[in-house]
Amino acid sequence: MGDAVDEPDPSLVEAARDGDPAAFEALVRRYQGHVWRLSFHLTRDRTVAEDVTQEAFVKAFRFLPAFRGEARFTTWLFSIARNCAVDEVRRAVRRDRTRRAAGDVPVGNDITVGIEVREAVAALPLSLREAVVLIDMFGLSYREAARLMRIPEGTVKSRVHKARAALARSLVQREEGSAGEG
Amino acid sequence: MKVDFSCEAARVELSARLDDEADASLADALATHLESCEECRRHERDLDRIRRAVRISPAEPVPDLADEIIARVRAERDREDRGAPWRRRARWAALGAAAAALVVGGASLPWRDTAETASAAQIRQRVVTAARAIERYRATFAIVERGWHPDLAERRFEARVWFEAPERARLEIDDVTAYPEGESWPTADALVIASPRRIWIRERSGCPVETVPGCSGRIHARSTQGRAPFDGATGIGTDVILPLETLASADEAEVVGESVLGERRAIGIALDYRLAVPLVSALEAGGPRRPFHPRDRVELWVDAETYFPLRFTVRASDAPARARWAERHFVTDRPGERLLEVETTAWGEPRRLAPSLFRAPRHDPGTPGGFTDMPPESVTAPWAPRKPDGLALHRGGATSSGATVIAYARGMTWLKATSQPRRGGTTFFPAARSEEVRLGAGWGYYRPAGASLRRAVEVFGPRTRVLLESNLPRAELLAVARSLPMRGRRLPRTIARSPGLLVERIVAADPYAAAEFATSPRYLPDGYRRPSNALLYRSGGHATLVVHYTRPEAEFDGIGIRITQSRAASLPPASGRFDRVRIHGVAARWSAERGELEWVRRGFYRAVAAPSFDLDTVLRIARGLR
Repeated sequence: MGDAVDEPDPSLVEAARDGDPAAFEALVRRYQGHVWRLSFHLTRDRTVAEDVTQEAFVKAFRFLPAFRGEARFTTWLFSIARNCAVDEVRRAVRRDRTRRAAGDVPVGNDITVGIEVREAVAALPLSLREAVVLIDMFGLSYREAARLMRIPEGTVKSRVHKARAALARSLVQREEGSAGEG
Repeated sequence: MKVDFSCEAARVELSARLDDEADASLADALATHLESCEECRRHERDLDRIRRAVRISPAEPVPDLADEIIARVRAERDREDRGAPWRRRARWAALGAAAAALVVGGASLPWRDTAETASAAQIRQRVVTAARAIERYRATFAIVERGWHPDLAERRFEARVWFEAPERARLEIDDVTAYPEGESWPTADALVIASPRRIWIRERSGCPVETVPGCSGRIHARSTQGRAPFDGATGIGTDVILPLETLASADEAEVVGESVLGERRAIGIALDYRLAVPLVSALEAGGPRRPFHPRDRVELWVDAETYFPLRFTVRASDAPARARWAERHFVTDRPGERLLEVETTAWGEPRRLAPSLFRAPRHDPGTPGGFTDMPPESVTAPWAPRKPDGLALHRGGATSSGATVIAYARGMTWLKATSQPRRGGTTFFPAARSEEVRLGAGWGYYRPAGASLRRAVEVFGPRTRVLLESNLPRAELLAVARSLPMRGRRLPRTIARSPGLLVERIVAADPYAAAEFATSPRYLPDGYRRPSNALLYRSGGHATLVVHYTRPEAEFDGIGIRITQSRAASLPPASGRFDRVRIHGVAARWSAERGELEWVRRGFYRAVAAPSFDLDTVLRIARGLR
């Protein structure tokens, strides 16, 4: 679901930055689900995503005094989570232990093609997956995504297109595959 | 600057365009490329489908890690607190610099306004866009209706809808009401199957609410064969799929906020029933439903991503004149009571729908619809619009009255052009509420959507009259009309002349100046600013000025507001029932059925008709006429 994530009240962020523990805890409760979802889509592993989420919040806590409201708080938080997740994926690739258990793929009860789409997204290479997750699932602008991924905006644009074209091809193949079976 | 596009470059732009991120300087080049490249047009549809599918795919279950995270953060804080204050501050500063570099490279990021709730106008534009993209849709709805019958607290229905753009639809209604035992209550089950050439409806008839209980009526099927494209009798209102018609008039709708329904983010919109008729009546089949007052309040929640309706309710308004209205319609509602609740219980955009869903039973030949389909490419239509707003050729053919028809569609959006040859010296008389509009160097006559007629423009050529009908918004429809390869003629000032009667069009900005006895209204409700047209009837020595006001996009009662003025000593004979009210110190006649208030004062007859409004509003308009 492309839920453009709601921003917290600026006074809450300010209080957390000034060291108010209750304020930071409120931010944790509010955004831990979003951070986990982003991490999950990037790492494709529920357990790894949990570790990444914890790490991201600890980093956010440390770095918060440097947050000056130039970016949206959520974009700032996501960029920390994204960096943690990408680090984790790269480590995993190096160790060749990428876990992609089928059971990790979410199961919904919607009557749409949603489940297949999520599987197809999970099968994309990280650079394309990241673009489509940030733009379509988290509702970021190309500019925000570019800053977050540290690539030019034009590259975001072409990656989003590549990702969508690949998803379209993959869904057509699935469709033809299932039609052949049926 | 001329830009030649490769398909690859065009496709990257197409993808970005879906996100409102396309390069504006390339828009024209992209449009040119698309016109000639079928492959890219197909690719765009694929991209759009994928984008929507990703956005609406179900969210995965999220673990609750808050306590663990908070525990770790507390441990981190405790560690820091053990350090000296100066060390702590120094560390913040160092980390701060690192964090800025890590995160945003020190540059600022724009705030994205989509994070805020969209305005009614933005929602309307997005629905218009989404309507073009939809190909297939399927949903189930739970409906609760209150106040249909005094002996029955509520009726409950389950409705299932299947839709394949642009003209196939199926609607099944199961009546699941717990009717009282002992007497026979007619159930309101229904089945409607619509395909391009045929519509088939099976429902119960013959049981007006006054005959219930005890009436069983009869269930029968009727059908039309040889149905003209988008003939208005589709049997299912597509506004329940996407509220295109309803939100086309969203200038008076109010965005009430955001909420989460099920797992979906939803946007709430509130508007009067008079503006939401296509939505509220969309699932009405299977016999009469309860009536609603024009000012009853509709609250609609649409999915924030797809704009599919997730829920809508109709509540009884507290308008002072509503009690009289309720009496007349044999209903007893409390102000604020929920009269109708419709909830979308499941929905989606399947990739395939079985063709059999849209196949009506064969045994019933049905009545002829008078339309003969021909391959659309073979229809000779030199008068067809050159730019049908990106819609694709859909159907073509001829009607039994000799008109030629070309229809275009994309998703739920459609446009139909009908050419009728002009015979002899007949003058065409455009619909009374048509508005004269400039179309490039020529002229056209525009009519907003009504209860059954769709938004339309008539253009008169030397030998033909071309009628464009569509569910496109006004601005887009007029742009298509400007692309017609003909210069529309301006109708003469005198549009009808017969012995003893002369009808003139008044085209001045202030039509009330045309008759010395007429006064202009000082108050009109929101949405009614300029007159859409004015006609002066002369009969013998007697003149009557009739001025129409319509909202730009739609007028679901078909009239809008009509102000009639003439010289007269007394009221004309009454037709139908009426009530007496006082205005300007004289007795006026109020016909609730027609929504018209008439009075005579100092030798002038004046009448205000506004069937979509209640007496209070009509009185306010009338008081401003003096």
